[in-house]
Amino acid sequence: MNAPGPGLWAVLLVATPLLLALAAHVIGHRMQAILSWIAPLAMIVLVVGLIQSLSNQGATVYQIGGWEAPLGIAWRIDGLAAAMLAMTAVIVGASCVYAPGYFAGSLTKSNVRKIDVFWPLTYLLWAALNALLLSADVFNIYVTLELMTLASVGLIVLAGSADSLAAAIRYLLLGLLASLLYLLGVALLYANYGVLDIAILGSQLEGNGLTWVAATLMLVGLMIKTALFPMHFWLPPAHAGAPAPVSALLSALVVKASFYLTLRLWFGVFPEIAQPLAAQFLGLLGTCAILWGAVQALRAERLKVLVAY
Amino acid sequence: MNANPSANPRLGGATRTLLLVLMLGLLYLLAVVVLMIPERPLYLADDSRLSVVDERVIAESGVGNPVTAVLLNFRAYDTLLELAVLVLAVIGVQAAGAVVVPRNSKNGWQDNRLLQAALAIIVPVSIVVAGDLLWMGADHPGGAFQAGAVLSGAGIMLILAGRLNHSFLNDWRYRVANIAGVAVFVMVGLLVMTVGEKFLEYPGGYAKALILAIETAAMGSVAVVFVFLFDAVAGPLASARQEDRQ
Amino acid sequence: MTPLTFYLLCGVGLFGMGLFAFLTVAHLLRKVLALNVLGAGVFMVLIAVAHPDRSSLQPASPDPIPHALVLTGIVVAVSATALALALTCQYYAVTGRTDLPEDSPGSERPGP
Repeated sequence: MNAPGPGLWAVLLVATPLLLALAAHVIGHRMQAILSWIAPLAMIVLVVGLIQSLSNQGATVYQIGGWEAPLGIAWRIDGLAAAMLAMTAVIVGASCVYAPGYFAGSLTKSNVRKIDVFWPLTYLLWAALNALLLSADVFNIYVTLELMTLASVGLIVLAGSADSLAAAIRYLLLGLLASLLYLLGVALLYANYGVLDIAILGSQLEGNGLTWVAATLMLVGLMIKTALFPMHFWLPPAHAGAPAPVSALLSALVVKASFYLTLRLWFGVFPEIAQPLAAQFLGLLGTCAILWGAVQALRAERLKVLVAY
Repeated sequence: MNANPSANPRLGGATRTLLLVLMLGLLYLLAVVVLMIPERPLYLADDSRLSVVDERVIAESGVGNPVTAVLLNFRAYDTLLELAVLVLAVIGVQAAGAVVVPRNSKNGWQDNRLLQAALAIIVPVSIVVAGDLLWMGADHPGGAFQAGAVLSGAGIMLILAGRLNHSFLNDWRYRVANIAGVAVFVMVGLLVMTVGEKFLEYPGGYAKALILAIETAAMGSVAVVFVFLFDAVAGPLASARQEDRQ
Repeated sequence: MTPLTFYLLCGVGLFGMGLFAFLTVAHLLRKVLALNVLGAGVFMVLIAVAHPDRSSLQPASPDPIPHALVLTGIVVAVSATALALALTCQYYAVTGRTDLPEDSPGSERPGP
C-alpha cells in the first residue's frame, strides 16, 4: 500500500470545503466553532500533507474519474499549485477567524444572521479557488471561474448597503462578460483541436490566426477578472462596498487567481506564441498600472479604496 | 441615428459610432477565424473519428446516451461544480436579503376553479414525466437537468396559483433539498476512493447505479433551486400586482 | 454556404450583438439580456462544432462533448442570470434606480 499520493490530498482540499459549505447552509449556526477555526486548521494540515507528498513523489497529473485526458478532466499538482493553495489556505483561514467578530449579530434585510450566510459563501469560494488552482482543463477552469465569481458577489452584497448592492451588480455583470469571452476562446480552441486538456493543447498548438484570436479572447477575459490595467475600473468600488474580511479575500485571492490562470494558460497552452514581446507588453501594462494607481491613491479619500489600489 | 431611449446617456453619439465600428471589425475578425475551423479537429486528424467519445468508450461508461456518459461519467466533475453553482445562486440571493417572506394575503387565484382543476392534472403529470425523463436519460435524450426543469415548472405553477406560500430558506428541509445534489455527488466521489479508485471513478458494473443515484438527487436539487430562484425574483412582483388589484 | 458555416456565423453574430448591447445600454435588465444573447452566441458556436455533417467522414452521431459543455454552460448562465435579476430587483427596491450610478446623467460621484 503506497503512501497517499498528492492526488488524495488534492481531492480532500476540494471536497472538504465543499462539504463544509453545504453543511453550513443547513446548520451553520451550530457549527460556528468548527467553521471559524477548526476547519481552517484542518485545511492547513491538508495543504502541508500535499506539499510533503509532492516533495516525496514529485509533480503529478491526477485523472479525475480515472479517465485519461482528453476524455476526462485532469488536475496538475505541482509546486506552483501547492504554493498558491497554501497562500489561499492562510488568507481564507484568517478571514474565517476574523469573521465572527466582525459580523457579530448583524442581520440581513430578511432577518438572517449575516455570519450564517458568510460561512457557506466563504467555504464555497475556498472550494472554487482550490479547484481552480488545481485544474488542467480549460472548460473546467471556466466552471471554477463562475463558481468563484458568484461566491465573491454573494460576499460583497453581504454588507447590506446600497453601495454594496451596486458594487455586487457591477462585479457580477463584468465577471459574466469576462467568463463568456473566455468561453468563446475555449470554444474556438475545441473547434480547432478537439481537446480541452491544457497539456495536450500545448503540444498540439499551431500558431495560426485562430489560435491568436482564441488566446486574446481568453486572456482579455482573465485580464478583466485580474483587474489588470486598463480593465481595472471595477475593482475599487467593489472593495469600498464590501465588508472588511471580504475585501481581504477579493484583493489577495480572487484577483491573483486569475493572474495564476493567465500564467498557466500562457505557458501551458500557448507556448508557441508566447514571445518575449508579449512578456514585455505585460511588463509595460504592469508599470502603467503602478503609475496610475499611485496617481489615484493620492486622490482617494477612503482608506479601503487606497488599499485596493 | 434616432435617439435611443435605452442608450447609455454617458456615451456620446461619437463614442457609440466608434464602438459600433470596432464591434463590426471584431465580428469580421471572428467570422474569418470561425471559417478557419478545420473539417476534423487537429488532435484526431489521423483518426477516423470526429470526437474522443466514440462507441467503444461509451460502452465502458455504463450508460447508452453519449451526452449522459460525458456529463455523469467522463466529465462528472464539471457537473458536480455546476450543481454547486446552482446552490451558490440561492445563497447569493439569501445574502442580498431578497428572501421572500410568506405572503399572508390570498393572491386571488385560489378561487379560480379552472386553474386549480388544471393544476390537479398538470402537477401529477409533471412528476411522472420528470421521473420518466430521469430514467430514460441513461439511454435516450433526457436526464437529471431536464427532469428537474419539468418539476420546477410544476412548482412555479403552484406558486403562481397561490398554493405554495412558503418561507423556503427558513425551512431546513428545503435547505437539505438544495444541497442534496452536490452532497450526494461529492460523497459518491469520495466513497469510490475507499475501494482504491480515483475520485469519481465508478468501479466496474456499478456505474449505472451510481449515476442514477446521483441524478436523482440532482433532479431534486435542480427543481428546488429553480423554484426558489423564481420565487425570489418574481414573487414580490406577483404579490404586488395582486394588491394593486384589490 | 454549408449549414455548419451558417450556424457558426450566426453564433458569432449573436456574440457581437450581445457585446455591443452590453457596452452601450444603461438599463440593468437590458444588460442582463445582452449577456444572455452573448452566451447564446457562444453556445451556438459550440453546438455547430458538434455537427456530424462537419466532416466528409459522415460519422453516425454528433460529438457529445460540446453538447455536455453547452448543458453545463446553460445551467451556469441561468444561475448567474437569476442572481443578477434578484440583485437588480433588490437594487430597484432600495434605490428606485434601474441603472448603475456612473451610467446616469448628472451623477455626482467622481469617476475613478
